Amino acid sequence: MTSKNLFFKLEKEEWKRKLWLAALAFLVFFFAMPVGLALGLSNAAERYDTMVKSGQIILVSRTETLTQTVLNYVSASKNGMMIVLMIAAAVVCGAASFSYLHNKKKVDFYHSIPVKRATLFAAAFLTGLLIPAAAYALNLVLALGVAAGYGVSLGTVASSAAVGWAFHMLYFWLLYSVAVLAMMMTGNLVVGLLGTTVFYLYFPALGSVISAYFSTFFRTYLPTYGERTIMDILERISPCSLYLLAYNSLQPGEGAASLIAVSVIAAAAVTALAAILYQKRPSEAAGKAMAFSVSKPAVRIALVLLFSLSGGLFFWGLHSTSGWAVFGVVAGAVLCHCIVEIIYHFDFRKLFAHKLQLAVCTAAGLAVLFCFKNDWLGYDTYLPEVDQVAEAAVDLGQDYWITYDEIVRKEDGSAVRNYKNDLDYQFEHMKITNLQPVLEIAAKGIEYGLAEDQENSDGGEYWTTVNIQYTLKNGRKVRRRYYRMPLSEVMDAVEELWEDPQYQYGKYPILSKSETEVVRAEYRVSSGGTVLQTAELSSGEQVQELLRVYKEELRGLDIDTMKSENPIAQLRFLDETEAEYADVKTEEDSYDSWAQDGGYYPVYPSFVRTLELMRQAGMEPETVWDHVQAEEIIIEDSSAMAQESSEDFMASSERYIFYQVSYRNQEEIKEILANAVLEDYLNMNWLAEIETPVIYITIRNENGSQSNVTARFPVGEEPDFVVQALKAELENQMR
Amino acid sequence: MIEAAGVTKRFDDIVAVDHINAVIRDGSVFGLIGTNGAGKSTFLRLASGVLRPDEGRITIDGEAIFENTKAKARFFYISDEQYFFSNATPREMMEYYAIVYPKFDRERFHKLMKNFGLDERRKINTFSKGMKKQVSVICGVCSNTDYLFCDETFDGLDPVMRQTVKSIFANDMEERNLTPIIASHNLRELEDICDHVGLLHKGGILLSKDLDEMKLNIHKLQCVLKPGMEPEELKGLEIVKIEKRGSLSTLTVRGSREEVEEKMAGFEPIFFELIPLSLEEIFISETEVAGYDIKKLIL
Repeated sequence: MTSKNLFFKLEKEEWKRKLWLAALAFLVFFFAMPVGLALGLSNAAERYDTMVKSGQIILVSRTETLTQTVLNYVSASKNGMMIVLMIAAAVVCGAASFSYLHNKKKVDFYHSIPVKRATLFAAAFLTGLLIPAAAYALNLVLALGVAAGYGVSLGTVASSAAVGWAFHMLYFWLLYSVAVLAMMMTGNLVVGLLGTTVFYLYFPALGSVISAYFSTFFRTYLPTYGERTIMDILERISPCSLYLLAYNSLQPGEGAASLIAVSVIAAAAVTALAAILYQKRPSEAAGKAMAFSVSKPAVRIALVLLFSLSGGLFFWGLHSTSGWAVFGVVAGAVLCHCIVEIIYHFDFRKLFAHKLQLAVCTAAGLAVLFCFKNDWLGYDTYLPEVDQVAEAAVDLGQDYWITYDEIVRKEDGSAVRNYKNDLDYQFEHMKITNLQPVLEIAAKGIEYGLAEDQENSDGGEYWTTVNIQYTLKNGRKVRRRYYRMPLSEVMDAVEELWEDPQYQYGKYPILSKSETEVVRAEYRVSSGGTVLQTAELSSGEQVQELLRVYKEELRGLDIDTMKSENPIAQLRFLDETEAEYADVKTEEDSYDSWAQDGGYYPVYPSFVRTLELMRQAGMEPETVWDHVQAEEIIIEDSSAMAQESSEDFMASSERYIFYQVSYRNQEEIKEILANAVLEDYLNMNWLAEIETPVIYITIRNENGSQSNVTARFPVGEEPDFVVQALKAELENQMR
Repeated sequence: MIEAAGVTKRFDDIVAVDHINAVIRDGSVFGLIGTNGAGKSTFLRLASGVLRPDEGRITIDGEAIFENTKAKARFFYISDEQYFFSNATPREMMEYYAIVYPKFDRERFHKLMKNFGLDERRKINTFSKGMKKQVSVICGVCSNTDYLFCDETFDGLDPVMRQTVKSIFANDMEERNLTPIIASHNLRELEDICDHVGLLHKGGILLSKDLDEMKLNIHKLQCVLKPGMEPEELKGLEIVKIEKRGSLSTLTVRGSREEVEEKMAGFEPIFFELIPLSLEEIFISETEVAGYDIKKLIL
């Protein structure tokens, strides 16, 4: 008999033995796919019909709605439930296919028959892989049948379904091969399942613990998103992590090819390793905890270290003292060591076998704890030499109004929002080569970070959190975050930085926008969601010119100007995709923060050429109050009942007295408005200095309704009659 | 021929088989005797390729067994607790064995199942221990392999079945030169079937001899000597053991039948008779010579 024939015959026998598994897989996929989809389609159709009956405007057809529902079930990137299903299936199939290795009777049977172990492995492995593949495929076909029954064109969804099947089966293969590897390395089913859990979760857990150590003990630790740190790499060494990452990378705008390629290689490598271990695995390992003696100390040390570090962190979290942290490290190490030893020996009396290893692991855990806690490696005081750094990026943590989200076009042509972390954007685009101001700011950050009592070191201004990324000449990226430092202490450096074109380019995405790509400019004067004036400009040349001039004047915006002026209007420039996205969201009447507020930039009074071009386009922020009827203004102020740091103040239940004056006289209102700055615009200028009173302006709209906006007086701009009136009111109340 | 040369197998700190040297000739029944833990099962698991020897080499006609399908196709291993697939029937087991043993004789399987009164379609897990052993033996002999490794296979079989199995073995040995290797802790079980016996103790072979050879060279001699003569005075006889009850003396003596009879006639006893020894008695004698108390090793 040829070995090929033998393999197929054994494969057939394996299927016979695993009929229960096939039935179980079919049942689970049946409820997950055709039944789930039928329910989903039924709900979607009913909801659509109800909307039609109620007269709501629906932009998509019934078929499109149902097609989308089908895609949500069958495509790779829309059905998160499949991930849970695949992980569970991989564990069950891995255990079912190779748990015979844990039974002496079965091992004697299989390993005495004249069949090579490689053939036995291949037949069992393939069966465990093919059963869910077949059950998934069969139920996918049934699901598509259900979709066709609802009138969904199979041509539209079949390819997505096939890709979805291939995607999820790839990760099933990876998860399953890891589960098989765990079965191969153990001699007991329960230990095998524990081993699978360790393989699935160990490295992400270790990465998380190390990450938690960084964030707990280092003041300047800056968590990164997207950049590869040791923690990121550890968190990716898991089939589950890879699966989730690949699943998320299938979302619009992301490339999944590299992750999928890595996963294919990983799955093939783990399968090969499992096959080799099957050959090497001693038959007498059946019934033991671990099949290979050599893996025992490795697994034990790895687990004990993880649990000791976790214990230290846990008790530090409960009570932040060295004593409790040490207790946590020791307790974690001892507990884990004892549990592992009991499992290894199936004997409670072997709790403290390998005491020396326990001692070394505990010592290592304590060393790591104190290395972090006492910053032995000088992490928080890190300041590179100028000649070590190729370029840097700085986030001064002030301008939260800038939108970094991107609007991109999907493969199907629709415009979608791609969320972008502000730090990621700045660190990606900002390449500052004038490093002196950056290092000066960092040095001040370190100084404040090391100060024992930062509260007493006030007196400075513009307290903020600064984030810095150094790209070293060796290619390594180093990031630091400096909490609560006053920029006033390094104002010269900030001014130099502010005027650096590289800093500006990385900070303002608008500076990367080409004049030729913009199709529309939108102008508005608004605050707190109340729009006082708005206008659009769609003329190509005018929009381009406006953008060109605006960019020039934005680049020229210096610290002194920001101290002396405040914005009076906002502009945004949209390319075709952005304009389409904004229009669709407006038409849909669904709230979208980007469509409503995204991409707006401030216009300062000193942007003379911009304002001139705006006026030519009918955008006149100076005249906004001429067109808006401010009906009433209430100005409110507060005063502390006692010295704010005094004991009387702290003991008082009412620490502040609030008092207000109101104005309905149009002359007074006009004078107040001429001096006031809208709250939103003050938020766009972190250098704005304002008086304490808050101005509440009630506006009568054209349709008779009322709106409210809030404004403040810049320092020195509060009219005398307001100052006097508030003073009188305070005295009146104090009386 | 199966040959073990310096085969050693350790399980952690325990040496289960310690430098065993043995030769199992084709066409004979090899009995492997030993107490629990003597290493019988380990030796059979080594011989069947389940275990890989830590040291030494075990071969069938010169070919190593471990991971050698050609060599493994020449034997069928019946373990002390033979595994049957979950919910499987004898017929299903037959189907599986027929795949892996190309010479499997299905017709004979059906015939033997019928003769043994076993239902091929009944689930094996509903069978008694003895019935399961019967199914194992039937599968084993129907595989038509050159060797049949039986680990405590006769334990659990009733006397009738034991005889039936022995007759099947005898038939196969006659017809196709089958070589059964039978491990057991019970000497009496092997007495009337083994041609050659190996005694395992503490992982090593204490002795390995041909049974006929042993039987021919040792005898039980019952005699009543002339008045005043004691058994110790029978010079020229190689006496291993003496028991005396009244005037009747029972001796265990070495030597051929003719030689013993001739020498005894010379002493002119009142009565003497040579009686064959049981396997157990032979072992007692042989191991006592080696300085062991067989009763502590076997039974």
